[in-house]
Amino acid sequence: MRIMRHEYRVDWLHLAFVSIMAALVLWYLIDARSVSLSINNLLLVQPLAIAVFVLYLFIVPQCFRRADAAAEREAPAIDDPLQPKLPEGRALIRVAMLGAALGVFVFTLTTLGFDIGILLFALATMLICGERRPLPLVLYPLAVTVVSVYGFRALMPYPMVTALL
Amino acid sequence: MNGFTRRAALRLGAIGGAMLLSAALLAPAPVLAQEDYPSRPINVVVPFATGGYNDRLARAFAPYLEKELGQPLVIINQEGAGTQLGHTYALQQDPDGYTILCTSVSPYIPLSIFLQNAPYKLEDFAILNLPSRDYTLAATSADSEIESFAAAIEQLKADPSSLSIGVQPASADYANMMLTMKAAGIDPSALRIVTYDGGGPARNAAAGAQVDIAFVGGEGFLPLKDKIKPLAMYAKEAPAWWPGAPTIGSTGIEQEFVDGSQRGWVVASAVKTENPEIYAKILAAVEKASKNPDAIKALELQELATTWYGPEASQQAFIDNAATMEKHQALLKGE
Amino acid sequence: MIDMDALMGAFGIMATSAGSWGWIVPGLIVGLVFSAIPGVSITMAMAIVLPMSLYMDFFPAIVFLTSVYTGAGFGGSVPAILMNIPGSPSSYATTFDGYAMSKKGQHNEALGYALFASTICGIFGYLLLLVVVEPLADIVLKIGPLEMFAVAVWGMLLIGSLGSKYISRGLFAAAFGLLLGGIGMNTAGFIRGTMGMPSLLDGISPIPAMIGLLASGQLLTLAGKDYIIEAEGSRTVSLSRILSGCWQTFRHPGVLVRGSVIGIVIGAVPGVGSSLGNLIAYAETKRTSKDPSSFGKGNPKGVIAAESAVASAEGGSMATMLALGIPGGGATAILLAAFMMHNIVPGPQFIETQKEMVYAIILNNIVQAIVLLFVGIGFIYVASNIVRVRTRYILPAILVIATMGTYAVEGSISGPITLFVFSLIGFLLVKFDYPVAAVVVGLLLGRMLETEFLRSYQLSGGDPTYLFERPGAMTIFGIMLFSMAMTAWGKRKQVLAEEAESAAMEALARQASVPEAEPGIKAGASGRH
Repeated sequence: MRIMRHEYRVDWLHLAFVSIMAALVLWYLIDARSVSLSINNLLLVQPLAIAVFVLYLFIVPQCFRRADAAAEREAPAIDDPLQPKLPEGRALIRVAMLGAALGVFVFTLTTLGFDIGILLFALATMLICGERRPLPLVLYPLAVTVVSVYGFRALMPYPMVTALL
Repeated sequence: MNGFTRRAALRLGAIGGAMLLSAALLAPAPVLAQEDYPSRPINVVVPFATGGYNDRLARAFAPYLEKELGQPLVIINQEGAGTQLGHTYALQQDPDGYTILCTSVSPYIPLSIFLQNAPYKLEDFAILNLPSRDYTLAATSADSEIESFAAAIEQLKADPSSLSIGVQPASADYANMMLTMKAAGIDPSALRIVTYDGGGPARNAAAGAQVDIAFVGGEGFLPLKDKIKPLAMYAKEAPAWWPGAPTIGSTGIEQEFVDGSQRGWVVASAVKTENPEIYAKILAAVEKASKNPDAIKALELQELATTWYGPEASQQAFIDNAATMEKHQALLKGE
Repeated sequence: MIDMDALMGAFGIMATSAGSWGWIVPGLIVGLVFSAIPGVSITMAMAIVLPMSLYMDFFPAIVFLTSVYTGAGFGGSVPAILMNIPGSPSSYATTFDGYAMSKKGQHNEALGYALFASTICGIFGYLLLLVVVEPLADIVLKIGPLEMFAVAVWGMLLIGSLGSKYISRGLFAAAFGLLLGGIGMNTAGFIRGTMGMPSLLDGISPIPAMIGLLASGQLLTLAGKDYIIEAEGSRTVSLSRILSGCWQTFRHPGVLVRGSVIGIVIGAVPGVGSSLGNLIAYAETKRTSKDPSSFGKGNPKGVIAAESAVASAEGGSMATMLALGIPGGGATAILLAAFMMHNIVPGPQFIETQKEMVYAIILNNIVQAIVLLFVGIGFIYVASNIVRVRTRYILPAILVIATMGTYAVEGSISGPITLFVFSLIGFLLVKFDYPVAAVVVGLLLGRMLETEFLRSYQLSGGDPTYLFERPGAMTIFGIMLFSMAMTAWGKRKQVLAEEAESAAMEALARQASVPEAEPGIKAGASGRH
């Protein structure tokens, strides 16, 4: 993108992300204000929301980088556990697949029953992590299912929907 | 049915095994049921966290109710959203008598209906017995300069912001407090109201003189009795658990008021209409257990109530209280 | 302060009910195992064992329940250190340096540090309790909303010490987290941001949200690795290294004492819960340290600070429960119920009339902490074998347990769904360099911050001079500002000293007029920063 005779590189994904976050906060503020304009309601919400909008204005320019400056941005990554880094390449695909499997697991848990859901999810996780031997693929998810279903049933003061166990 | 019993037995086995204790101690040997009901453990839904009054009541009463029903009871804590989640959950279960509620019907059922648009009606609940009644108590700290409730009201009449008031918003206590202010002709918008999201914090605030007066359920004050001065109890007569408390009538203020809490045993109305025999069985069991001298003794030790009022009187008390709350809905909403 | 006759009586109670000693080890094990499972809270563990205590005598019953409580105080740090999953908010700060140490292959030492910090400060907390149990009750009641607000702000300062590449993004994340923490019904009864979902009325459930946010940056990335620890030689389980970690804890007495004091005070205040003490203790230790940049990268002092505050908070909340009959949190509420079952109502009268029993309970907790040392070493020895298992076996089990744990928090599917939604948010935060920790801290403290700020506003009628009527709040704000100023001054002094040094070196280099030397010296000087 060209602005003022400079070539800019735009991080569209980041721009979209931070904009959605700010939009969510805007919706939250509107929702809170629609409930009541009383200070008892807005004392902290409103100033914080405004702070978010101000910070948004500071962050948006960070999504635009001068093309000639882009090279120096890649400083050597420091391994700081408080600033975790996502892996790259094939490892990232694994992480994404695992995340997707978790989503499917969570949303089908009550329809499939906890036992079937856990069995399938444990199997999928093992496959994603690279296990290919048939025997562990059969036995280990079964063990995880049995232990977690009976264990949690004993621990929780809540009922749990299961298909078989 | 068969599958269910096996599942239940396994579950019990797992509980016992996991905690390294003899299951025999926990679950009395099931008496063989003459008819179908009850043929498996019965769930008791408590719409509060573990450790609260209803939870303690359910857990303490369970052994005696188990004896009458002949099946173990499983206590399920379904807390959240001012009991709405637990009540909704209980009403969603099949009306087969395997779900019993131990809850504070007042103020929570009317409050969740009037203020949170809860997806149920007052009539969806069939009250078995409400042994525990709690009343709003206006209290100040033990070393406070406030002499009496009448004196405090006079002071507020002169300057509504002179005393800070601790109260839980959208509660029976809040309605009672507002009714008092209305009766005394005090402008509520000028009051210095400090909101608490539970009875406990409001009581601590009164005992520690954080607020000048707190309006909050009286029973919870019992352990803090030495640290506070009771000003007015919103009850017709002082309850058995606090004989000397000054009632609102004795303070010279004439007003309507609502009961703070009515707690006890409830099932879904659908059980009564669809399975009247099962309903009768549960009712008989609750009555017998409530009158069991051992149960009365054991619960008294924990300061829990077992008084038997019966379904008619309990239902009536609940409906009357809910009607008063509905009448003053606007006050509950803080409008 | 200590009533000697009552103390002797307490020893008598402990000696005569010798059977009660047998309940310590089973109680500790139950507590350790339950609390090591993310989502299964101490409260739940105690509620489940509570019915058993009905059939026991009073003193053994209390010994058993408090042993569960003591064990649970440490158990949460095991998954925090080994897998970066805080079992409960109170072990969040333990993950910062604990997991970093694990990644470096120092998991044995990290667990040792955590165990010793936990037990020593647990003992210290109870010893202090023995002395101050009576006056503490009155002090606790005097703590009002403004003081609590000051403490919450102190907790928020942690975000400042977490460090982030972009300050704007850190603040953005923190504000976003605080707003998330305020969703639901606020203390004045206003309902915001629930989208009509009743399960959000009480706010976003913090445990599933916290695990979700941290999962995508850490737990899910394990899918790309074969083992938790990459270096093969580091995947050892060594008793001697656990013990050396234990032993070295003593080299940081200042950290231990500071953590304990913070933990006791915050634990004693009813309703604050243990999620705040560990954050403040960590932030203070990092700020006052000589090498703050090493925190978060596996500095044992971070683990010690966090764990010391968690363990000593137990004593604090026990004091409030005994002296006032007020439960500080869910676990002490269960203890209270257990007391009531045996016809004993804690409170001012109980303390006065039954001082021997109070002392016996406190002394027994000290014994429990000592026993925990031995039981705990065995427990972490077994648990740390997880580093030797391939991730393809760990991940299915851990993800299932974590998901089930979030289900167990409320018994509804909204827990696992929260976990998933927040793991997506966490993924994006990590991808775009936003500090996830700021969102977590905001989420944990948002509700408290708003509640106490609002109450202070209501009490004061909006008059800021109210602060001057509250000496307690002024003291807290004062200490906070002093500590920050000292840090800033210390840093400035350090920077000045370094500048002077490098200037002197440069001058030296110029005098010597050796042009080749200059780049080397410059590099050396900048390397020291």
